[in-house]
Amino acid sequence: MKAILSGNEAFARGAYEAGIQVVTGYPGTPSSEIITTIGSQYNDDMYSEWSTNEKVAMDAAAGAAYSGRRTMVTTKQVGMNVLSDSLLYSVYTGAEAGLVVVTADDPGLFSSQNEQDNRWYARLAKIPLLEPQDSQEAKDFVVKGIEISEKFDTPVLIRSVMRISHSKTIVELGERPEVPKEVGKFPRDISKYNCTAMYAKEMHAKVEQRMLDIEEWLESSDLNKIEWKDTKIGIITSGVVHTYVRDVFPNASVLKLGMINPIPKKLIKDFASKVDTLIVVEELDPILEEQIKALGIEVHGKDIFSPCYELLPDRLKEFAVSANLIEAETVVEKEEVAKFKDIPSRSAVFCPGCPHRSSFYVMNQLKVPVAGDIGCYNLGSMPPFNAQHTMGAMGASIGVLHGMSIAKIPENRVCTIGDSTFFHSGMPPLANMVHNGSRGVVVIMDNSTTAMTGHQDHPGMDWMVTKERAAKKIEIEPLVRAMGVEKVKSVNAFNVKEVKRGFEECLEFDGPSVLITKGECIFVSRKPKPAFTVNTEKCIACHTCFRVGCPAVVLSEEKFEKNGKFKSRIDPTLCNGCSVCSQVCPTGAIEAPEAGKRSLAE
Amino acid sequence: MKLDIILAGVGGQGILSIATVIGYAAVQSGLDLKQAETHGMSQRGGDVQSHLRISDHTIYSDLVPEGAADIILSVEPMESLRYIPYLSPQGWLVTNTTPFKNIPNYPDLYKIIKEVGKVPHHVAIDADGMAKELKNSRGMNMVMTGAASLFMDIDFEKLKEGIRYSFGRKGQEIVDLNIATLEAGRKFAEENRSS
Repeated sequence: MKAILSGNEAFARGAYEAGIQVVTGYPGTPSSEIITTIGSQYNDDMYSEWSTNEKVAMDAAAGAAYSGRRTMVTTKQVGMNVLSDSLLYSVYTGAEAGLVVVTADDPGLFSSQNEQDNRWYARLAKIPLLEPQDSQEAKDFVVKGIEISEKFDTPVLIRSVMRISHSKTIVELGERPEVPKEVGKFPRDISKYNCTAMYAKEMHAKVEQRMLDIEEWLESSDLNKIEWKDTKIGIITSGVVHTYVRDVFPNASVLKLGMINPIPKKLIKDFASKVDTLIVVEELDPILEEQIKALGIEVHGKDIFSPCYELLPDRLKEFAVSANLIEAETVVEKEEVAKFKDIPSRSAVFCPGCPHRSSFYVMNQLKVPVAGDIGCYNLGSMPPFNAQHTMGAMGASIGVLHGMSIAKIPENRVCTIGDSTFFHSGMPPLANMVHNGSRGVVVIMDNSTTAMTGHQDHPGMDWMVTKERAAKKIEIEPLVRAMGVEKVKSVNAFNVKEVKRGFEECLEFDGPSVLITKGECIFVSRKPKPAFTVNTEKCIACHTCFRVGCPAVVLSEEKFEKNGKFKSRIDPTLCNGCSVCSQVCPTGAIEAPEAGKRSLAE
Repeated sequence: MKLDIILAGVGGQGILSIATVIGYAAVQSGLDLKQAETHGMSQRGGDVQSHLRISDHTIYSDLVPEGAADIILSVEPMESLRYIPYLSPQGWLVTNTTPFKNIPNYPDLYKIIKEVGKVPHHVAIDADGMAKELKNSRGMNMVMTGAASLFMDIDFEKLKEGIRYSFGRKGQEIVDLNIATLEAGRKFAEENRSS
């Protein structure tokens, strides 16, 4: 049977067809839909969970695989940095059952803080790495990955990119194999599963031998394919870039690698010897290129193609033309049609009804330095707020805040962190602040979800990935009190005055304080209220309401005579009735809807 | 046969439901298909696009090259202009005329429609209005699919099957309503195409 699946849906299907029984991970674009799909579609056959963070997910996966369950971990590229500590010991130990880790990289930085190339992790950790080119291979390589994992007793890394994870292609579906329902007692094999130095020494030698064994096996594997055509140009490539190469170089001979760590040295030498010019086309870092050069083979790569951003077909073509690899197409002079200039972009903003809006309005007014974190609230770094001054990694905000404190900057300081991010990696740095006597305000923006990645659960919520309302919810306020924070204040995020008072109180406190701004994400509550309206008699076109950065607040076509500016208007189709704009209006011109009127957003 | 379509709109307008119907029709016709999407922040009112490539040959890249799109199907008029560099000289621009204004600097709609009119092959259709007239207030996407179907080398019956597949679990009434909406969109394009 055929189906149209996104790469992420195909990874989920692959887990099903590989007989995987346990799947763990932490949400992160572009990887999130793998576990979402498993939780909603394959719940009867596989246990899946959103773990607190990627490292916790990896440890849980190792434990399940040691116990004899086929297991998969999913992460986005930067999540690998978090789970790598645990990946590396699992490489030494191997497991009783197959273990695959899927990393979804983000060349082009669609939703990430960097463009790191996670193929390095396969080299660092010394594990096999598979790279699919479309949804069919995404599914097949999970099955293959489990096979390789069990054959060589090693975790296997599978690398996706946004273009694989989010694109849809046709997939031929297969069946799920029989997998045992029960597992036996846990193996008490200390020399295999305890990486104490005396055992780890032997494990390391085993890992080196294992990679040599895999390389030998790989030479005759069907994972790597040669497409012979004209031999003037020979291209070595892998993954989604292979599909671009086929469009841009339809006549070149191509060696497509399915496994890119280790590399099949004999096959590459043989291919290189039969073509006039050898080129490696790979996105981001020259990982294949450097290894091929180390074999003493003359090869082109990053001298032609940039190490930055995606190598999409149109861009690949430009590089290839500049290097005289292909001829430029004759450009047909198009008639001057519809070259409409200055089409404004619709950049992401806080949604109408977002609980974060008030805090950023207040922080902008208070002019405090703000260490930021990862989540929707990073939009607070944009105009009109300009109020999140740093952002780098999950959980980093609290540590950076502490750094400001020990550096003794002359002003008091704040950091922002979401509820999911706090559970992910915010607790250790808060403990550090408490223990080392820091000063600063930690604002935990509790919107009851992991919003930016598509509204997944976390330990502060009462449901799970399967949507069952069975999860134990951890309350943040008693938690931070128990951690020793003496000044803790919870406020209603939709009440601007309350938020402002909360900030002022916490800023006065000489020590670490926590301000919890509570208000559900509009996607969680799904309870939009009726739209507000602007009373044009009262509006003085001061544009204070624009400082709340809401897409529903727009200019009207009516001018205020005294300053010649356009008055404000609320777009009734966008407004969710949160009232934040009306709270900041100095003349009370933004009015609540009449009682009983139905919400326009319904 | 090859059919490269760019789907355009604003996050939340549901262009993916269009892709589902056309995609189903393509697979049922034994064609190869690839569909590129970008998720993430674009969910929140940002501009969204999807590339849909259909062919009776193997498709490699899922991305439509510039100047190669056979159809730009846009559910929002300003967004239709954003992707014009992708349109092939013979290609069709099929756009909704109802604007989605969630930005303060949205251009004059009259100017936008005038620019659409400069594209040699175009259909401009008030799909929101037509859907409302047909008492299918959420049917704008199917009006647009019907209008664009005129320029697709895909059996119209197969598109109807796509609707049955997509809307089947919502009941026969919804299926019939959307098929009628699809037909109305196609009829409009037949009568109002630019050339």
